[in-house]
Amino acid sequence: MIRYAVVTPTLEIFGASIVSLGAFNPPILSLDWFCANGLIGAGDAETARSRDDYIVSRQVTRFQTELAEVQAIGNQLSISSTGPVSPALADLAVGIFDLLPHTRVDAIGLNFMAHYKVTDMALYHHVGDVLAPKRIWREVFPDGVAGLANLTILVQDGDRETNRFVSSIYKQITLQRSSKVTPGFFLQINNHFGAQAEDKPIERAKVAGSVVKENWDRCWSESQGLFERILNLALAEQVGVHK
Amino acid sequence: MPRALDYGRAPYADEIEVTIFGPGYGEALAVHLGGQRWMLVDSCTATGASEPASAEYLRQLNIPAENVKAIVASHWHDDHVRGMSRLVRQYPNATFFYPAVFSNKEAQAFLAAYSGEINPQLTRGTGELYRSLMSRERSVAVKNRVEILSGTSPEFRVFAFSPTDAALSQFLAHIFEYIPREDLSLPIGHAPPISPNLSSVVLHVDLGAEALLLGADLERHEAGWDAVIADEWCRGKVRAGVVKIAHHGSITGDHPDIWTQLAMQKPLGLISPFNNGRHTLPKAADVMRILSNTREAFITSGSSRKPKIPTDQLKRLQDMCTAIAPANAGFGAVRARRSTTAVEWQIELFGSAKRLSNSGSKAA
Amino acid sequence: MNPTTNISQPLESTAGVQPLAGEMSLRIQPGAGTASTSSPSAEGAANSRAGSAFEVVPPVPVPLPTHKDVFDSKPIQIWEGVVLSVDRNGMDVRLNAKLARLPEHTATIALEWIHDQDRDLARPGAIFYLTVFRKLSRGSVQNAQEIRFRRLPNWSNSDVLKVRAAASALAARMKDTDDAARP
Repeated sequence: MIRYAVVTPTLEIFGASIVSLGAFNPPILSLDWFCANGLIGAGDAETARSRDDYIVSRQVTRFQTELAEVQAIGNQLSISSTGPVSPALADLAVGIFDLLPHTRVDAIGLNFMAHYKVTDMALYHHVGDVLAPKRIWREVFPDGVAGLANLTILVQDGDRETNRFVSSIYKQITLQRSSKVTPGFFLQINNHFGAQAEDKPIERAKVAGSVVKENWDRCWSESQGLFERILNLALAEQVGVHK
Repeated sequence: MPRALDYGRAPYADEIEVTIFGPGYGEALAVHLGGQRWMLVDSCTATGASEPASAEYLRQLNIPAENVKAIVASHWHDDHVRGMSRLVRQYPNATFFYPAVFSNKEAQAFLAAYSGEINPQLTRGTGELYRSLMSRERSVAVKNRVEILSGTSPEFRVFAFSPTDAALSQFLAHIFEYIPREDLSLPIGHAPPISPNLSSVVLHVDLGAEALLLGADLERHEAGWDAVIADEWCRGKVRAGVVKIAHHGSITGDHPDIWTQLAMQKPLGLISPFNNGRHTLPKAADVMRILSNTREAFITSGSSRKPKIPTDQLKRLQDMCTAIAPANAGFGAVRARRSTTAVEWQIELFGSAKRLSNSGSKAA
Repeated sequence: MNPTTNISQPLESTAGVQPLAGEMSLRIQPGAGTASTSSPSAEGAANSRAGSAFEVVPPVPVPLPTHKDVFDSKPIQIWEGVVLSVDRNGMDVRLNAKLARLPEHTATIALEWIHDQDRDLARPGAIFYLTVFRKLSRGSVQNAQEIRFRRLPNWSNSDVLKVRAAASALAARMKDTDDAARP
């Protein structure tokens, strides 16, 4: 028996992060530094300072405010939303790069993540079946039950014939079962912007700031559209009887 | 996309017209000076439209681009320059006129700082004016007594009554603290509104037997209307039979001597509203004053203050906000047109435009 | 147990860095090739490799904070606002919706809604974000909203130089031909 269904997954949780790769100096990125430069308010700084997870050391700096969790290690700086996603997250990243213009930044990731709920388990399994068909797995593991655990797709401008990627800008989309919404899916998109060969290392922080300014809004609105499109396309396939 | 208004026919060569456009937040004018010569003053866009209102108007009337002879930016405020840079590109033969305050290097630095070129998210009125000036090889600074345009068949002359020299220096003093300098600890932000408005260009269009007085947003101040009215040269000009009321009808934009020294007795009044949170213009007292000074007046848009937000979102917003109202209360245009031989102006109302009245705006 | 090899416990992601299961001490891993800019937790461990041009390096684990104050949320609407004026009764603002095409609105916001730390930021021309969202915490769903003022650093010396350059370019472009003509 074939059923056709038109269902729309509902967004339940949304988050974002900005992750930079390069050469960072964790002791500089202290709460005092953020506060002195006006990037964090005095109240937020005080709250973050009082938390037991506040760290400032030569190897790592980590603190958390109501807006974001900031973590800096030698080769990575991440700013992740802790409350509702706000454009202020991008402002924070831009502020850091503007104030540290000579920081070496090799790549920036503008990341958005979401948990979507579907109405029932049958539809949940259906998405997995569409995105990762089970036929091969059932042949290889005839006595087992195979299911989609994690799917990551890399998308980039490229040459389809040779399958070669042609630039250091790409999107990486991940889909998993949601651990927070049942039945539901977790999706994340990593919009990766790598430094170009012609970018002078000493100017890369400036370029990084520009990448955030110019792409944050677009990537944000695009991500939600992409998540819903992926799920809707998978759900729109014929709904069959599941054995 | 908003539904386009039907503006009917284009003016004949021997017709003069002035059309004011207003979406509730914004103002623009299109003036036909006769002989297929057009002057555009300021720029605004209807909600949801990308094309400036005056460009859409001229396009509908099939006016060739080369017939636009002048584009005047009366001042730099966002509500008067939205879409200006597009207008300037669309009419490349028109001379672009800007307030003379921006001939000064400090004022140019002010425009550059807040243009959006250095910080992309900073872009409001200053950005439009900056881009308009950058896209033009030739632009002309305007201050009091500068001639904008003149012509014959029919004969006309357009002069600027302001800004005055005193206004120029006061404007520079006001903006100085907002220009980034090495020794100044200034957070990056949008250019704040500078009050009072002293940089505004007031235009006098001499049509022979009468004139048009286009008051822009000039305010009453010793360097504003006081200086204009005190100038014998301005007082000596032909009196205005049509007045584009200054500063959206506010008391600060009014001066009693406008009506006794610069205008005919009981002229026609044209006005666009200004919706700015609690401060909406014109207020009831302003309407009374305007109606006492004019024989009749017309306003471009209505007074609808009903929010245009989905109910569930509106309820949430109301937890934190009061006086929620759409910035634009409905786009409208008022056109005053007459032939060069006629005395009376024919008034046509488009969209949300209405006759101004004490009992709230009502349809003519 | 490494969560990436355990299909019964799929990876989950929060907005922060999570350690590999069982790892509580700080450990540095040598970099190899191009590292990933995706949120470290979703990247999982070093086992995923997407090809030699895109080798991924696992995030460096740090002790997991209690995260007791972190909550999940879903934005309903984000209004980008500009302060028009401020007085003791509140601030008049202009609001533009970021998550849907809605007309621009004006409103008044009482000063009590502004955090103490942001009071000096509330001045004409200031930008803020008014976020209306749904907060999910410990199984409960609450409606919530917050105002957060935009915080940008001061104009830097390099910004000042750029302003000067842009102003010079503007001056060069503006060739006045009729200036202060008096009839």
